[in-house]
Amino acid sequence: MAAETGTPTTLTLKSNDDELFSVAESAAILSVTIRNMVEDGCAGGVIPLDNVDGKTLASVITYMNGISAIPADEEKKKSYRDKFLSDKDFETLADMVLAANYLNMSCLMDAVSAKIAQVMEKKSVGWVRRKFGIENDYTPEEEAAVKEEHKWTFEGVETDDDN
Amino acid sequence: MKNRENDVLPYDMIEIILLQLPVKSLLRFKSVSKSWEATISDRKFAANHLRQSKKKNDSFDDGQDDLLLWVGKSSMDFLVFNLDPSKNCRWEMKSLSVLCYCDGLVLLHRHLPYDGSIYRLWNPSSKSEVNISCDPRIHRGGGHDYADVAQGLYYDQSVEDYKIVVTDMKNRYSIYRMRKKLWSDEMKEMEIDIPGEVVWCDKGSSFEGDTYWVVRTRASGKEESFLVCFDSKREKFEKWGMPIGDNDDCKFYLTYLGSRLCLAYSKTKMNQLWFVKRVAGGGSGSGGSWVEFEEAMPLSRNYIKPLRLTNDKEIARED
Repeated sequence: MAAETGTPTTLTLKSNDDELFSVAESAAILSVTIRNMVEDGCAGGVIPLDNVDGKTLASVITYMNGISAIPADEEKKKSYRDKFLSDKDFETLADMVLAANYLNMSCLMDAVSAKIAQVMEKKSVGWVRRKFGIENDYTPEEEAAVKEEHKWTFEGVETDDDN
Repeated sequence: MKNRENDVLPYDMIEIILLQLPVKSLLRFKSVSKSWEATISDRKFAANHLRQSKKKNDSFDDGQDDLLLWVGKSSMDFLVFNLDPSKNCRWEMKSLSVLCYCDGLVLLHRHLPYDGSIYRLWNPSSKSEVNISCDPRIHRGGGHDYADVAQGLYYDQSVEDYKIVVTDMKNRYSIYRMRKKLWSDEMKEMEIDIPGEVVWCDKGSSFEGDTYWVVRTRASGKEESFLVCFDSKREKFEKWGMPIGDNDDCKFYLTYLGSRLCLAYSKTKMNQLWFVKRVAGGGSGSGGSWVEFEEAMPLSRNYIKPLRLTNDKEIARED
């Protein structure tokens, strides 16, 4: 557990592409996965995080430091999260939701999945298939029938300008 | 465009994201693939989605998808509009009247001049509707007598289904289960005492799964109002006295303010408002609960029309 007095404990995290990061233990234990390792006493050396790459881990650590610097004020935390996620593209958000799930950080998980929903709300079916890597397994007739049934939901869809 | 590998996200995470989408997007994304269609059409998913949107709307300041329903004076015409003005849409329906609403679903009654009448459950956000035939055991007049029948619409969490309760407000009631598409096999006894004749009965107000009505009766020349409640968990009717005594020229009615149900009392130049609260335990001794009236606004000499609750739980009013 954290030292009772004196200098704050620092942990070293290692991404799956071998980048090393230093982070204050008090910020890192926002991740339940890391907290459990610390509590089990296996955080002495370097903590390997096999499912997170360096770019994503850097981003997650920025978030950990930012959110733990804010005192217990849910309004301020929420506006920090909104600002933190505002300029992230879909690919980055997808990597972050996977990392948040692996690191067991429910507040980040909730915020990122809500952000992805917000990004995709007005997008076309084609956009969703490309971004999520989903194969269209409908026959042309079946697809036309599903679309016809919910015709009105295709009003006001954004045109795809991302490719 | 950078092409990503298949399965960008595992399926359980996609489901978490889908739960946060509005209904319109969900219905469009049924076209993405067969497995997305199956997920979105699944009734467990629908129940989770409802729970999620309720949680989101608890802080009702961002209730973007909230539909506001306005019922015209005749209750024959009504408009539905979204709180987000860019999404405003209006419905004006002929031969339909609004009976009650719950979670954005509206129960309507349709008058058919020659063939009797039907109920219609309408979902404005998915633009879908289901017709339901009236229960002939309650509607002895083939449905033309709908004004003598009280209705309630509620969500039964234990079976994840919407139900309609109809009663003659004298002694009998029956329940319709949306998924089974059936009225209950037998008429049930209300087991509460409604004295004299019913002069007036309000539209049913759904609140926390139960349904409430203001009922006014006349017995031996004297009029009196009660709050009648249908406790959906125990499937039992209850009758509660009003927080203050009334006489002939006053009126009680139920209204929603934010996520609260309120009982309002208005008499010439005398007005008062209470929150209706269901308190667990004790009461009749049957392990149930009872209804309490929490004073929301003291007796006022000004005529008031409660509009909504602000975020600070203050009542905005129109003088």
